[in-house]
Amino acid sequence: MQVNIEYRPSFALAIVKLAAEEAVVAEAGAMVSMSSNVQIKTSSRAADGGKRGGILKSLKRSVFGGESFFMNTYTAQGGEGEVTLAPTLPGDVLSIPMTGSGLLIQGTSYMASSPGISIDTKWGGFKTLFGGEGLFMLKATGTGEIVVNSFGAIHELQMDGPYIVDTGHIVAFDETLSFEVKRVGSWKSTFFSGEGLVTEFNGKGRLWIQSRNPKEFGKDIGSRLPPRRA
Amino acid sequence: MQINITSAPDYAMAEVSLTADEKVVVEAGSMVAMSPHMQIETKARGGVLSSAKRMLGGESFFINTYTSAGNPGLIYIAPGPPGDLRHLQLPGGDFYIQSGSYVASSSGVQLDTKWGGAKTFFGGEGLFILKASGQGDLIFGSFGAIHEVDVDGNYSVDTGHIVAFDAGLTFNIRKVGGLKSLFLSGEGLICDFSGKGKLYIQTRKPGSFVHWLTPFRPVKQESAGGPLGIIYNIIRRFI
Repeated sequence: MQVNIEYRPSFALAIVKLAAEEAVVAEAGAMVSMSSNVQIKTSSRAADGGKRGGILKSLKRSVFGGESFFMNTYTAQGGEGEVTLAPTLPGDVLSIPMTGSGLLIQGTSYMASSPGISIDTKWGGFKTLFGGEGLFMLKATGTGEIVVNSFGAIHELQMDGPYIVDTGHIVAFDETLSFEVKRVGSWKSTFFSGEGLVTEFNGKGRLWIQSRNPKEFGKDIGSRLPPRRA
Repeated sequence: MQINITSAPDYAMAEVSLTADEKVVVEAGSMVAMSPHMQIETKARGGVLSSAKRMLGGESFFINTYTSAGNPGLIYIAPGPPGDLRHLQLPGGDFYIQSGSYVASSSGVQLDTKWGGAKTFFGGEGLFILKASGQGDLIFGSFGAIHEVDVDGNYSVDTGHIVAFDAGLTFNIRKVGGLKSLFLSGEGLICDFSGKGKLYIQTRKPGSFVHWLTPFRPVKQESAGGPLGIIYNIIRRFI
């Protein structure tokens, strides 16, 4: 599986080349185009090649992970194949090679992975529900490629020591980093600063952040649209 | 007509230079700036019936023709969504454009709505395709970048990502996989292309973006009056 990313950073497209009988797992709705010998299989299973999972795990991912309930597996049959994938929002795509150590991914930033990678939900803690800014992380383990997307540009930080990031701007980070979700300043600031909750990281590892917060954009545009029915 | 595309690929804009009395046909609402002597004529192109057909095609009922009266002139054109623009010189023969992607053309290019087939209504994802024929300039746009694929054989695209394609390609629309995939895969309809020709696809899908935005729309309140309603609305602001 070879991943080439074009049209960065604003409208990135991941072009995934598959060898014969090779597969890629992608979030439902991410497929843009594909060669005709690629077969789609929809499963409610976790993205671990079907070894574990099942409907309960999928539900957990969907309800808590901010992610689609279903995943699609694209397999190139009888020869080489190609699948192109794109996220919904304008922004960048990044392919991160995984060599054994785990990666935590913000639920909505997950786009695709090789079948050797297993995806599980990690509970961000009760506090994260507060203020509507859920921090639901997916935990990826195994070896292979994992493809993440961002709203806006992706900025990589090499962490060594404490650092604070707005929860809505987190894309992914190495599991070597510890994190804690906190209020910002006083209770007054929590409610009115517009910053909601922040995540304090500590330790050594990589952290990827996105230069725009999807929720802020949604609120900004959505509130100007005509009301929908409840 | 001289066409220069600037600010590509993220926020492309077409700069069209016209000779004296030359015309350019532009999708309604796409004019950005123009020389003061430019004359605008709004038409329900091809008569009311044909226009209604075009409206079904996701395109505006009316189309504007700009004429550079008496002198050379300049007009800037940009589509609605952020993204790229392509300019093609049509040699004659046919060319197909997803109706929402049409931006402008020279007067020698005829536009006709080609029915994508009844199947395209299925799942709410209409695929309406305009047939451009004749000789001249054509400008079309995308949401996101334009990815070009040289198809030789078969290739499949999600219908919402199609921008345009050559007459060398034929297409057939189908659902994804089995019934389970259709409803649960999150993928819309797939368009299978076959033949030899160039296919233009957009890297973002307008329909998915709108779908993403929907939960952020305000919710119509049935009767949220009184003090409880006010408290409810305050709480809602933070959730």
